[in-house]
Amino acid sequence: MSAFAEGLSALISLQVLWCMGLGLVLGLMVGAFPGVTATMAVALAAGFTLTLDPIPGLAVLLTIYVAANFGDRIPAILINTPGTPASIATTLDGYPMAKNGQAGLALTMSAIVSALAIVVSMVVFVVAAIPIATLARDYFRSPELFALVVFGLTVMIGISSRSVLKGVLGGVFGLVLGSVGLYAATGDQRFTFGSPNLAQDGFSFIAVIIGLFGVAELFDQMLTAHERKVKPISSLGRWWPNRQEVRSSVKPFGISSGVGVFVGLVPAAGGDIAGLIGWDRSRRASKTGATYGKGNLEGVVAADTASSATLGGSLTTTMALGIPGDSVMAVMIGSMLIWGLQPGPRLFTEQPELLVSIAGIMLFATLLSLVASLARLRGMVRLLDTPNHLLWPVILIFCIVGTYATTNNIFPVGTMLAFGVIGLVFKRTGIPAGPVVLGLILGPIAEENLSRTLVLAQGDSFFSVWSPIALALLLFSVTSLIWPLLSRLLRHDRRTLSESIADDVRGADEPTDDATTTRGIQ
Amino acid sequence: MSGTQNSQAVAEYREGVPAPSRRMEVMVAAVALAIIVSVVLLAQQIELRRESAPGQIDARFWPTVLGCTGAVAALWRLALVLRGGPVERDDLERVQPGGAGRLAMTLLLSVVYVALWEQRTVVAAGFQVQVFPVVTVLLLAGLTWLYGGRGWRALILFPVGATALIYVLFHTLLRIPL
Repeated sequence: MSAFAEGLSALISLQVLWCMGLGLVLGLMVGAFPGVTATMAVALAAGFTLTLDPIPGLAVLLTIYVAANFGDRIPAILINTPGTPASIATTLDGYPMAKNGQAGLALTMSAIVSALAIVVSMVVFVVAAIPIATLARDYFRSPELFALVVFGLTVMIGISSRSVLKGVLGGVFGLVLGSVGLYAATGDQRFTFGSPNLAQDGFSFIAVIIGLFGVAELFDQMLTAHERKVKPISSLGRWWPNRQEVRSSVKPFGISSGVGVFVGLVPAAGGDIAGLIGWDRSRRASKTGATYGKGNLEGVVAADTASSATLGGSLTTTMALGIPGDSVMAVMIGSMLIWGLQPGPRLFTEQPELLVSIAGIMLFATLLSLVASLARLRGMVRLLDTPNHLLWPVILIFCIVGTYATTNNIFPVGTMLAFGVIGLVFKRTGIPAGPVVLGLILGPIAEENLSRTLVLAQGDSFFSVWSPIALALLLFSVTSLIWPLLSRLLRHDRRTLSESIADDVRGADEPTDDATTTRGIQ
Repeated sequence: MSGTQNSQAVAEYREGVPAPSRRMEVMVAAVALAIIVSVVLLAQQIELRRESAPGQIDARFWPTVLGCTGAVAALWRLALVLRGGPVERDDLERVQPGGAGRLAMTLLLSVVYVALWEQRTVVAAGFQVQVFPVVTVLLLAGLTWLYGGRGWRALILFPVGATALIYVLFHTLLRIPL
């Protein structure tokens, strides 16, 4: 049987369909709740998907990833608060449109262009993933793999943190966590303090991820929750675009899909950055650029196309190179490792049918999300009114039971709660969680490849071990750390990349909407 | 937007974010440095069962490299914050009155819940009772009350319904021994 037929036939089962349905509901809901991010939802779901086979498990996680990308536009448009960071740019024109009585039109166009952009990005995934993986498999030995891990980590540090040094500290913390347990080469125990649980497997990926992304976010909301000042827009207006509006959307769609695919391919850069860049590029290229930010439909199209088009690129980087394309993918790698699937150059070259299965899940999930978004938008609006006294207990209990389900052991539940507190401290002190998780996941890979590289280096000249690819990756790593430091020193700017772009595209003196938006995404 | 409105909006926004704190930044860098130095010291105490081969790294090498890297970053950060002014924290929301208490109670209830759940089953009135459903209903009711839920729907119907859903999903469908 060909890889194509094998990959597709793996999807034809009631279990996969059921899992996608579950992922769809969860994804749309978490997208619609401000503060509950796709990363948090995928981390939460990872707790129970580990009991499933890889394909049904991937069906749940990837469908959440896609559906959250649709659901998060609803609060962005109706209450000016992004459901997830990927819809920050949607607020720029979406909310003004809603205030002008065009919320229905903004929601419909947002869903349609998001679906089309994901399809475009999946074409890139299908075309590029295997060649990139093959190239990496043929040319990447231990030094290159070590350099690639360092590159992925430094890019995430550079992008996700206001202070590069705090990002480095987060990354080092994650790498140290990854070294807890048995040292594979010699069987020596490290930092286990006599705990058999730590000696066996070290810290559980899933418990740490759920703690840092799920519980810490929840704890922060408990600390800071106050009554929402902005009430959801209830008058939605007309739903369908006219011919003129469709025609004017083609150009921003084209520009932003290119931006989104490119940004998606960059490790660790996600939909938030792509959405803002896409919106800005389209504004500059548009005849009606002056009305961007004041309720221009093109602005919604540009923002949502760019952020959605990152999905395929992000998936490509993650699956073909083993370096997470965004924070959701970092969590996904953790789940895949537990299923015995190691994302990286060998995954698709040895199991090409998996590429077909993943592409099939993504495309079907996109179709389901589009239909659900168009059919259920009115009902989804009501979700925005869900009170915290119902939402918080449900999230917490799912975090607890989901973590327990990974090993049927209480120890990871304690780990998860402890990392919830650590994650809260990190969040309040400005240390980003992304590099911690990446360090935990990639640390053992980095150590193993560094170890092999040092053995290779015995007696060989420097340049015969460290190839131009490895040296270029290490150079990029240094640049990605130094560049933000330099640019921030020169501009006295301490914002993250996405904050800088957000502020640049909005203009510095419009604090009202900024205030709501910035607070909503944190 | 006029200048006055603009200043007012900025002032309102500033009210919602924590004040810049140099002391906190110094503390973060100092604590990070202390933790990292501990990592380096603990790394030297890792028991090695055998000597590593020439060129091969032993179990102490990687944590030591990480510790040294982290120590440089922490020292650099400490020097920067000691020299510089307070750092803006406008990416955070201000802690609301009652927030810390709500969080502390949540942690306490969660720890008690996990400790009770670990008992798995208890014998009550001659019957073996599974602990999970009982303590989960109590935890959910307690949390709902803590977060402001009142009335029988919030305090009885919701905890019982949510527990039933979790039990069916994890225990019955996914066969997790709760």
